[in-house]
Amino acid sequence: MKGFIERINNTHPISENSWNELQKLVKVKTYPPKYKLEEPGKVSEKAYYLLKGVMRTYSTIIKGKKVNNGLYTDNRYVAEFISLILKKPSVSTLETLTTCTLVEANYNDFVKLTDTHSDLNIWHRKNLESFYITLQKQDLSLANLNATERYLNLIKEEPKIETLITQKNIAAHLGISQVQLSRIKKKLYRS
Amino acid sequence: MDEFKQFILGISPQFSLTSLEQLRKITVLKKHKAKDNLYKFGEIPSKFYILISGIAKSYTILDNGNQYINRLHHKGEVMGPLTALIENSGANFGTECITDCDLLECTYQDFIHLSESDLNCGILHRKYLEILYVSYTQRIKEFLSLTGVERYLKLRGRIPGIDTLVNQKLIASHLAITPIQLSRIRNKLKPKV
Repeated sequence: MKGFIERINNTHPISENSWNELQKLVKVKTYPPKYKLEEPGKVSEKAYYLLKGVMRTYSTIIKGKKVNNGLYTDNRYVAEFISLILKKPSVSTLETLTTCTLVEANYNDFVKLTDTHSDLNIWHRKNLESFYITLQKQDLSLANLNATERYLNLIKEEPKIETLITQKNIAAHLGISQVQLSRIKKKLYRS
Repeated sequence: MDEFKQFILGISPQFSLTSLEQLRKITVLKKHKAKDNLYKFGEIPSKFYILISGIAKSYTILDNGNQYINRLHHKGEVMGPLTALIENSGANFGTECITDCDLLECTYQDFIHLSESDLNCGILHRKYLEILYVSYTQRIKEFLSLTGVERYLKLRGRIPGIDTLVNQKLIASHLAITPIQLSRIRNKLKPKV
């Protein structure tokens, strides 16, 4: 829970009363690798904070091709936010890639709490703002960068990623095939 | 019902009339001509805008010098360099009117002050950021998973009549395809006689 508390305080410190209310909603749980927390076709109910481990979300959209929408390591918020916000069935899978320890809460209960406590509302807003900034960077990176540059960016942001997950997952995250990823790494290694 | 009230209630149906009046006090109606830029690229911005009528674009210049339009805006959308406003940094996206536009202008810090002091506005803010999150995520998913044809059809669904409102070069840039590719797509989609 320490990482979660630190994250809250770094974003927007909340009052003791709000923390007590928040604590009533959250639970800490550990899941094994390859555990599916959310699956397509089901309306998502929970939001998570990843304390330790690696997770991913992916969609199987076209011709069975898996598209990674997100890759997450320690101290990240993780959820099927589209399903939570729109209250529609998820189109993605949220899966652990390693053993993961998570803080989890029912999102509706959480939002109700943030809508009645000003400090929690500000904290939640700041989180949404940072999700937005991450998305904008991702959008720009897709438009601006080639696959090699996207790979280098990923390594810069998640230096341990190569040792944590398979090449197949890294390739899916970059929107390229495993063969393309292997060629990119060969070229980079040579130079 | 006036456009502003309709816009706010569209996001947050339970929004109070008192808070609505507070919001009105910090917005000003402005008229802009086609090709007007709303703020300077690279400078720290201070305002955001709600589009009342017209079409506008949010764009950036890519490393290869090409313009990339990340959003074509139409009536009822919020525009402005949100990342730069949040981080108090230079704007990395520009917003330009494509047609003549009527818009409501609001100073971001005035809105933040209201958002943090009036829970009604705080909830509105939270709901708007959720809408933005959904729309951006869908755009990235479209990029990764949809073909040019599918992205074009989605845009036509979102802004009916887009082909007559905006030139083909702008549409192609928004769809991340070349104007020639767009022309081929449009020909393919034309009903065969």
